[in-house]
Amino acid sequence: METMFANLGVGLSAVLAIEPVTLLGHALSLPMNLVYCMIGAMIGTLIGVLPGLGPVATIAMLLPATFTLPPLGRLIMLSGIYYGAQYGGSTTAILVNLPGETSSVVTCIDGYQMARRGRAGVALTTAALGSFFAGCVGTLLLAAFAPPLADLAFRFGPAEYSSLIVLGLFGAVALSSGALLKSIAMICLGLLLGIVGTDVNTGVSRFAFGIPELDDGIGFVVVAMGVFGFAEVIGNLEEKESREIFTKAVGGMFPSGADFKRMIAPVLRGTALGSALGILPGGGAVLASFGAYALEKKVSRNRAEFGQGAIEGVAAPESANNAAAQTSFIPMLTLGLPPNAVMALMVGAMTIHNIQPGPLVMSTNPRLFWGLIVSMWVGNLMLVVLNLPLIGIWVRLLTVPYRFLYPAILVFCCIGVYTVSYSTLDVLLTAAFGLLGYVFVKLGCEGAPLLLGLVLGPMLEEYSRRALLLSDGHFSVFFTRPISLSLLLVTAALGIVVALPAIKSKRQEAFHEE
Amino acid sequence: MKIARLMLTVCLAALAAPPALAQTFPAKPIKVFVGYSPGGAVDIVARTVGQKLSTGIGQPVIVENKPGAGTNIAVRALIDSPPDGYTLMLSANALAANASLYQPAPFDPDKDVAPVALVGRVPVVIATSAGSPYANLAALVAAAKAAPGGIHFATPGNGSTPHLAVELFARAAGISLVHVPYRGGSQAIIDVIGGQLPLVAVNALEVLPHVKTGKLRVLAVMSPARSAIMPDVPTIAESGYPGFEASVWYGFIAPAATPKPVIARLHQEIQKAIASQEVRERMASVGGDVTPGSTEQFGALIHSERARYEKLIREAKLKPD
Repeated sequence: METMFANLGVGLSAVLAIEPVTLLGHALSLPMNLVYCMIGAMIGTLIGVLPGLGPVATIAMLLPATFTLPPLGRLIMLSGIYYGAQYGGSTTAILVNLPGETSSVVTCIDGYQMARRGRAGVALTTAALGSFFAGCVGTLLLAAFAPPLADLAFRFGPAEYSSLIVLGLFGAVALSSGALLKSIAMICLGLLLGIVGTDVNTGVSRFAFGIPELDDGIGFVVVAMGVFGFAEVIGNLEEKESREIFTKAVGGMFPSGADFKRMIAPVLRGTALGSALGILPGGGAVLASFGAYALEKKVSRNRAEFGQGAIEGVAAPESANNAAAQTSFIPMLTLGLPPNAVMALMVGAMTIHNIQPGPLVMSTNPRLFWGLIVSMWVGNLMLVVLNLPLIGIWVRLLTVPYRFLYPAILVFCCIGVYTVSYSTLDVLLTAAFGLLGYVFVKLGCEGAPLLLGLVLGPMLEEYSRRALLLSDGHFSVFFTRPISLSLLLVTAALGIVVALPAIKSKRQEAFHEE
Repeated sequence: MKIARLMLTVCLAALAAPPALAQTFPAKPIKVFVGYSPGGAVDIVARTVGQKLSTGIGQPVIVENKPGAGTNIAVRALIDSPPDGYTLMLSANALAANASLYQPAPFDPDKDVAPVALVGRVPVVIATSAGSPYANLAALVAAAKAAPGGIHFATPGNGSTPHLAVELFARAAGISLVHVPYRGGSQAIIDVIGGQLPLVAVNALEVLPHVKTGKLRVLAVMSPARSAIMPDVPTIAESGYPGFEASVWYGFIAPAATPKPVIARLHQEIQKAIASQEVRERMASVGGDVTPGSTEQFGALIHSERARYEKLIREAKLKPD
């Protein structure tokens, strides 16, 4: 404990260090690292708000521009962009049902419903406060348990990942607020879409129709922007100018005492789940937000309200994705193993300065290591200070007539999709998925399970086939390894829980008919 | 403030580029395509050399990432760009291998692109977890002979340079290993350190930090000479298998019809850039060496690598990833 605080002290002094700078010809002394932190957090919020334009594209674009910064300042700024984006992503999700970030897809479900009920301000404040709390916990966890937690990543082999993903898919069935059958159908459709592209194990190109862009599969952002963004716009335009007017009662900004009471437990659960999942490689924040939502839906006392604007449905996933964003630094900083694309970029940024990320960084560059960690906490604080006053402005956005708002949404979606892999085909595909998404809306099918199927399907295939390759084809590998077995048992338990109410209602129906 | 200055420079440079004939090359910023995502080894090499190159030619060098389809998308974009020397690509082994890996061949590396200059090489290594029973390459071969098809090895992907290198080596040694492809080297390394499987073949840069902490042990470097960063590790030739050198190489290419004088100018500037202390240090820090040489030598390398991969891919029936 004492060493932890000593370490945090080193970090704090690194972050607050005053450096001489020349600004417009004036020699000034400024805490430059704080300035970088602020710039990063602001850019992050901005790109989070712009749908589709994610932290990966932004950091990639800014990487050369930050060449000249000192290593610590540069990492502080880049990580500010990353968690800032997690923050900002929820804003459009709540206001216009557009996930600004992949991890804020589930926030759309209840966040947007809250906005429709004139509680947009409350939803945004809830998201901000939940994220801040989760960010603080995540940072503390990072400081206290980074090395032991990193070992957890090593215990997860292909078999464990497969079982975790199966659990995730079962959770997704419980996640949908609509009919069980429809959500299973949407997951299956997502799994099928996930098959497109090159198979990792055999190298065969599947359903690519000779188009090189499709060799890498259909991107998550493409489907998310289409099914959520474009489809929403089409649906709204159908209603002519009578699109629901949110302006009448934007309502209070601040959650009431009752709201706070309902928030606490979901925020705590979301933070715990997010912190744990963030450490694992591969879509930590996405999995965390989906998982936290599913969990709340099962355990919450107000589960009937889910899908109609339950505050828990915003608080839990928003805390989870922010906690995961913080803890995903653990494998990168302690092992030099990037769990996602953003962390891979951070590794790149470090190697440019001849710092090899890995277990040695903590001892060879303590100022850098602890400075970065403390900057995350400072950055989270800045985000709250920055965002709370902005909420009023964001909410006013809703009063902009839709005929001005929707072209802007479409343009930003297209820019965002294009910058993911600089491919025009992706933009066309997004439009196609927009039409498909509109059909889904008409049929009463939900987009969230589809996206989860799309993300988890290829991962499940990759990991399970790898597990079988390593076990020489013996399926027992999933049941003989303790972690894998426990995950499968949890899945089975969840399956029974999901099935029970359905059985019950069937029975009731049967009785009713008699 | 430096960012602002940089952006200003870029804008001014773009404005101050009239299409005057008398202008000497280069009169505007040069674009360098990279077929991989930002942050990877090729991207880092491109940015390091690009920065140095830009001071040499007095024009900004802009790295543009075009990831996907095993670099084929970037190569395609390069071939479709005007052949005026303002669009280049930093290519790696995939350029030589993809013509045989992908059917139908997406391009012809001997005809569709022009070599400019080789930049450097990073050796491929075969590594094992610290606790594995294989003390050296000979022990591995003996174990593989005793249990054919019983030993798994991880690589960054089907058709990747380390994968092709191990297949070449296994054929020479007369052993059969089970290939387990991953998406990129870092996941493969996690599983080897975690004890899921015993062997991994990746480029030296990726294992280096884990070798330093003792989590991984390198059995052999596949370069012709020992590597400066791991001088104790024998080469594959020293271990008894000469002729199976494999390294990841990086080199600049241009569209095929790029004028000779322009290529000569670029070649000359790239030679200067890679001779600089900065670029050499950066290459050394990722476990590689810079490799000065003529444009013709680079062309010959692409050609010979292509023939070597073609034979292996045909015989082993490999598919891309």
